[in-house]
Amino acid sequence: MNISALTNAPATLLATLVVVLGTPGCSPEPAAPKRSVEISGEIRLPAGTEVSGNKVYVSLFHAWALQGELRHPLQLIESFETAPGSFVHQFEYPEADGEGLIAFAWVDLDGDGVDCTMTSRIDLSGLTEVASFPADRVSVNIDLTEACRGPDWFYPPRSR
Amino acid sequence: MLHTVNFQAGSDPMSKRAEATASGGPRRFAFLLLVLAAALLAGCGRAPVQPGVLVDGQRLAVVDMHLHTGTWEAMTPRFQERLAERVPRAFRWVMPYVTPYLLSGKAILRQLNNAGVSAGGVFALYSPHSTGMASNELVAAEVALDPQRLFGFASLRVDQWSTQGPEQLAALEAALKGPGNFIGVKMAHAHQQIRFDDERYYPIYEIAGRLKKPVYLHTGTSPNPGTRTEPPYADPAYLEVAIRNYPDTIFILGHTGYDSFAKALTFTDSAIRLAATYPNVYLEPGALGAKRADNVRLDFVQRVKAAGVISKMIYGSDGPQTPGYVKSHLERFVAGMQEAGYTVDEMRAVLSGNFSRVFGLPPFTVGVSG
Repeated sequence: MNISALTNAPATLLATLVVVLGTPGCSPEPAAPKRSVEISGEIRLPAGTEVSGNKVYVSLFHAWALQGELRHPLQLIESFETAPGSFVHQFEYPEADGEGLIAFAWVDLDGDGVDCTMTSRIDLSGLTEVASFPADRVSVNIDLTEACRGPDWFYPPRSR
Repeated sequence: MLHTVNFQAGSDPMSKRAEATASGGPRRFAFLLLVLAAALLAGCGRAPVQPGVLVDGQRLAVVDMHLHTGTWEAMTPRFQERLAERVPRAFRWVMPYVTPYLLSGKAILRQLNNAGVSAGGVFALYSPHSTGMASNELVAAEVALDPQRLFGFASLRVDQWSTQGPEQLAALEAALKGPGNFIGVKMAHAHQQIRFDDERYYPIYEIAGRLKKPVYLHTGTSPNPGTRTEPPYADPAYLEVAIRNYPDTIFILGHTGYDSFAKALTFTDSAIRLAATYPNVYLEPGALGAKRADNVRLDFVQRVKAAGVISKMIYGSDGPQTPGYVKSHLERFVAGMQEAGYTVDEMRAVLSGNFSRVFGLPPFTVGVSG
């Protein structure tokens, strides 16, 4: 009997386990499909609102994501900055992660970089669901009317 | 009446080694998984455990109010990916099989035994944007394994509040009134993507106050995917109106505003100010005993002491996370309190006394049985 083979038996067993157990996970993961989308439109504030120099923060969401008990609205895709008025933005829409497209925006009227604090509550927000989606180019108007509200305040809508 | 927990000799002999291994990198963690599985299958020997922690010759009872259960299937794909990153890619397929050994009620009890912890709070979660779900029913089943040591915190869905709010509130109230051993409510605004200052969620606090079930709220940020990091979702200052409006509701500010994403005490002073100002506000230091918080822990415990709110801090770890985490978190946090000059009585209050007082439970003492 080969003594060295016996001595190395645990190592051989471990190496075999590593190979056998590790093999199923070795295939490369496929890249998630993405659609290149251009979103454009108008960000509108109430008449008379002073907007000079104010930033608008826009977040894009899947309307719905996942399935079963994990199914939920408003899965964030990405955020970007723009200004009141017309805007154009290009982004990659991860098709496998959810469906639909929602644009939420808020305007930083007090210029502090935060969507309202407990002492300054004038920043306005709004949300629009893109009706004609999926598409490579979409257009939306977002009316910023509500102070200190997150996207969940608007969506899903109460009548749903 | 004292709440004496007799520890079964249930120390997990693998945990210390496992923790050391886990900190050594993904390859070692994979090895840990194999070793852990082998140890569990073999039912290898168990060593007696000394309950509590030894401080200046006195052994103090410990309650860890912040623990998580869950199943692989109810985690979101992104959170599954985050957990799986700890394991070499070739071995990630084992994660569904390993998860019960980390997150089940039995696994939690093993970690409590290993850490000498008398009891723990187990949280329900409804966070489909970030980590996933741990339903009230799951938590009730897990805490039923040992209702003398495991206490549940019920939660509810808020992601479709405008259409489902009333039924979710009814379900929460039913859970709190039911037989599930629920002693409190768990909320995680940053994970659930709702603002602290949104008054539509105030009925949750009304129910909690009426039923005398303290509300634990995650404050600060988190490194978990899908978690909001902006101040309205992370800074407990945005809770102040609710705290004032519901004086009969106890608000426990989880993580004390620790900005775990940035590894900084960004919102901690907000939390401490609220605890110092309002009699119905308490603090919890979950994750501040983790290695990730080494850079801020001493500063944190010093701030709590300087503000005079030690009597309002209730210990929790945010475990079990990885094998040995509950124990290592406790050891680091106790060391931090010692370094900051906490007295034995102050540490006794933080580690179990404040928990018993706030939740109306008998004081915990330590006891050992063979």
